Amino acid sequence: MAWKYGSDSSLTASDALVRGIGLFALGLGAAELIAPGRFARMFGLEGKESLLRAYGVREIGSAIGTLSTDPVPALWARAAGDVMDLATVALGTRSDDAEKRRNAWIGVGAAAGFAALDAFAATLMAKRGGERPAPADYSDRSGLPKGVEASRGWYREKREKGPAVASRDARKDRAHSGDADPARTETDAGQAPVPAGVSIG
Amino acid sequence: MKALVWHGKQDIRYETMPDPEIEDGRDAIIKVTSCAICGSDLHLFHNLMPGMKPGDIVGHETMGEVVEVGKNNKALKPGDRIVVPFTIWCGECDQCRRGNYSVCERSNRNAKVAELVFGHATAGLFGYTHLTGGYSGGQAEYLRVPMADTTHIKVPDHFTDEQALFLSDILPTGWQAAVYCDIEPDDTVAIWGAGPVGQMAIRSAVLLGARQVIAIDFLPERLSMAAAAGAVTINPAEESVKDRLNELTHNKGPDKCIDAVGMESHSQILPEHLYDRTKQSLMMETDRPHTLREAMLMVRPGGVLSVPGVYGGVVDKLPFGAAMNKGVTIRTGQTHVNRWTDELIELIDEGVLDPSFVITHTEPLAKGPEMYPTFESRKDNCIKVVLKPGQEAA
Ligand SMILES: NC(=O)c1ccc[n+]([C@@H]2O[C@H](COP(=O)([O-])OP(=O)(O)OC[C@H]3O[C@@H](n4cnc5c(N)ncnc54)[C@H](O)[C@@H]3O)[C@@H](O)[C@H]2O)c1
Ligand SMILES: [Zn+2]
Ligand SMILES: [Zn+2]
Repeated sequence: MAWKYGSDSSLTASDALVRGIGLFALGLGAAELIAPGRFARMFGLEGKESLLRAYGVREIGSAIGTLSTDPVPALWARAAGDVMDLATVALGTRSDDAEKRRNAWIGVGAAAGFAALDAFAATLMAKRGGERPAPADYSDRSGLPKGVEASRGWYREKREKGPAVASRDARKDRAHSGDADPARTETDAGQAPVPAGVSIG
Repeated sequence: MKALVWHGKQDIRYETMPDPEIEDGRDAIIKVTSCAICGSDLHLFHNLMPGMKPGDIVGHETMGEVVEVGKNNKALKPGDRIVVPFTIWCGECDQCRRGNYSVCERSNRNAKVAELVFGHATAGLFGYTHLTGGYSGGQAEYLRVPMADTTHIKVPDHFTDEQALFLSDILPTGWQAAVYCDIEPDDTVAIWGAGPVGQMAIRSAVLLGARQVIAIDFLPERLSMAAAAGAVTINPAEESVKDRLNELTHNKGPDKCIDAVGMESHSQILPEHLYDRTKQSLMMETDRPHTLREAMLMVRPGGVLSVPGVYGGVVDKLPFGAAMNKGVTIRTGQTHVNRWTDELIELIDEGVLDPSFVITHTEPLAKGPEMYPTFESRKDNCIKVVLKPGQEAA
């Protein structure tokens, strides 16, 4: 399905597959919730309507997870749910009605297929963005060239000794070509609700 | 020109877009030399911020060379090398005069929409939804900078792109978060999130003199980078954040807490996580505020809770009673970037701080659509991605 997005998109074929699964699950869940009787008759599961309704709720829950930004747990949950579905429709294979028996066998096949698909999608998504190698050791990246202890409080000390910091006055230099009024700026700065202490001169 | 363009959830494309043109006398056009992907861009990538439209160019951490200026722009000329602050500010309105650049009253051209959502409008931002002006972003070959005579940072020639680029956002964001803590020498500062913003906040807290800095995150490689700057680390997957924070503060709680995680916080408590995830998916809340809840409960009475982490709308089940009764000061906001520029340039120039430590990946701009998922999934030990428009994709 990748061609739909083109090779220049961050969205991959596996994203599209997962989205498809999510939307399908939403539809199936709604159908089970609204019309459990039809499913029961189709698969020879009469009397199991409330179970089917509960499955509908489960299906919708997993659809929300599947459509979220981290679908992996929901996809594994779906694979497990598919196995539950499989076990349930398998009951129908003992129906007296030949057609219902046939439907039930189709249902068993479909549930097995969906379990495989969901598990496949889960493994694909787990690889999204690349492999997870062993955590890197970035302990040489302090960003403080003078060393941590020499840097601790460095700015505070500098401010306590040195002149007040220019930062907030700097906007005067940068202010819009000439028409900012420095006097006004100064006064306003004095009343400004800026943090006390360190940074404001 | 080529640019990274938003098309929907998890769908960022490298596409040809029209070259930007001067639209106003104060504008400038820059040829981008370096740009970066920010944690805030992930909120767009996940389609959790309201107000994006397919076809929007993303990106708000950008620098480059001025190639054209508007007729009223006396501050810049072609050839100038500038970093672009992510907040667009006019320099003239009441808020700009106070140094509150991220709430500039004139740079957001969609102020009416913003008023509906936030009560009052905030400043225009690059590449960040139509609530903040719908301005094209800087993950592109060229960028139009509105109000460029104020909205720019001139960097010393001897700074590399890698040293200067983060003056656009994450460095002043970490700095502002720490400054807002009013750090005293005896303080313990606890920082949730060891992403790029958390990393900058850790260095800032050290430079501002905090005795003890604690970093909290799930990712060991990020914690190792936090430890490099002397932070004590806590991994919530391995130990209780609450117990460990109390142990490190003689049961008093951290004097100052920083939420550098924002609206996509993970919770170890499964029901809490599922609750927020479901509500977020169903659009019943826009944000998952686990960190905010935890920090509100952990902060020492009389302390400060500083929130650079971005939230988009409404949050749920906040223990505000804890914050109120403990007398906690809460400070937050998009960063007033240029307010902190001079002191940060000074720190870099004097060799006290080198912000390039955070870069783990440098790639051509064309690889952007691959780098979003790499940064998003935190795979390949990715912490910060820098993109180079000039370079050919391999
Ligand atoms: N205020 C501003 O102006 C401003 C500017 C830039 C970024 N931001 C915001 O700052 C936040 C962080 O940005 P970033 O670039 O570092 O992003 P990031 O996504 O790389 O980092 C977030 C980190 O938080 C960690 N995390 C998630 N849940 C956690 C939890 N419960 N406890 C502890 N850690 C947890 C993640 O593992 C990750 O390392 C984002 O919300 C971003 O939008 C704000
Ligand atoms: Zn940002
Ligand atoms: Zn303004």
